[in-house]
Amino acid sequence: MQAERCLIVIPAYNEEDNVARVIREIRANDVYYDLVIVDDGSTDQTAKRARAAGEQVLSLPFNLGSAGAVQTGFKLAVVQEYDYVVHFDADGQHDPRDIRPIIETLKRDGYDVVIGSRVLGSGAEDLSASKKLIIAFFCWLIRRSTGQVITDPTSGLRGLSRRAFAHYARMGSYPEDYPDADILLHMIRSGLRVTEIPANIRRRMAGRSQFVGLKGLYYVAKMLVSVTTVLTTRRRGVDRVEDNHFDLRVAPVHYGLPPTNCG
Amino acid sequence: MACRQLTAGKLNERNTLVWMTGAITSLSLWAFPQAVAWIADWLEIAEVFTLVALVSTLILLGLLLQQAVELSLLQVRLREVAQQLAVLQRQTAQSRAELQGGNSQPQTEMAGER
Repeated sequence: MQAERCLIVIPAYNEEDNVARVIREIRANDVYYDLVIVDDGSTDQTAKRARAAGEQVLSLPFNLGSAGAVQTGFKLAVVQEYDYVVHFDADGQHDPRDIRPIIETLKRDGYDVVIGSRVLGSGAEDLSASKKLIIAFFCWLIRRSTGQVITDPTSGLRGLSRRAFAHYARMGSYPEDYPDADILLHMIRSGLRVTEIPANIRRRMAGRSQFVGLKGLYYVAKMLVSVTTVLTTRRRGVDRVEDNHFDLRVAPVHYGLPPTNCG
Repeated sequence: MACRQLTAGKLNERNTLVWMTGAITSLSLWAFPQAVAWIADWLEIAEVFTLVALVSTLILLGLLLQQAVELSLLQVRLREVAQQLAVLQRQTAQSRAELQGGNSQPQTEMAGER
């Protein structure tokens, strides 16, 4: 039986100070899965430093945002027939020691999505008061609407099975930015099996968080709209993915977008 | 003006029709004030100007919404194209490296790299 393949997707935007260190740390922890840095239209040396560290790089022609970069990684994983994908941040907040437990949980227990939770693990104490409030609100919302308890809905450390990432690789099926509670709600409502394991989330090694000032306010407003859309959209199951071919004529399946006709 | 934009290829037929419908409706309200007064009476609106303002605002909002929908669709498609481009570039570089026999890390410049 062919060994199951896993791809670690690291979206990176202007992370030249962190990316090489993150890659070295992953490899130093004996994590030998395939790794791809998705350079999200960086204007610095992110791509060059990632390449110099010996890893494959996907370069987007312009900035699409974290979700767009992650979705690009999903597409690569479908085309290259990976079985699992782990989303790992390039800012040094995620601990490489959490990668293997996520993959093992995906393989062993058959879950579609495994989230690395800082609330179950460590790192929750470093959150700002406003972020804690936001997390508490989304926890309540997910529990209220699906009955499932998720302790860290904003965690970016996630592993996905092929069934999950192949679905969200499709055009229009993944949020434009900040895929947090809204996409989790959609995953649960679509019938994907979601679970959490403890994880260690650290402070950023360098650089600046994107959730400061007006961007933080935009995040909250955008999430409220997005969550409302998910809750009011008719439930649809996740389709089986029979092939690994991408077609621009595939209709958007999420967020109420009408079918396209590019042909 | 819309027709000139259409013939110059800067505006497509669908958007031209939408724009012209909105423009003709708005201008008709100004061109035929008696009709406006009649409609205001029928709808029991005391001030004719209120009706004119309401209808004009609704037309503008409708046009803006139509443009917003178009923009959203274009953004989704553009995102898809950019993502597929990145994946295809990577696959092309890999295939080239395999053909050249051995170098697993192609040194080609990718879009956006500095």
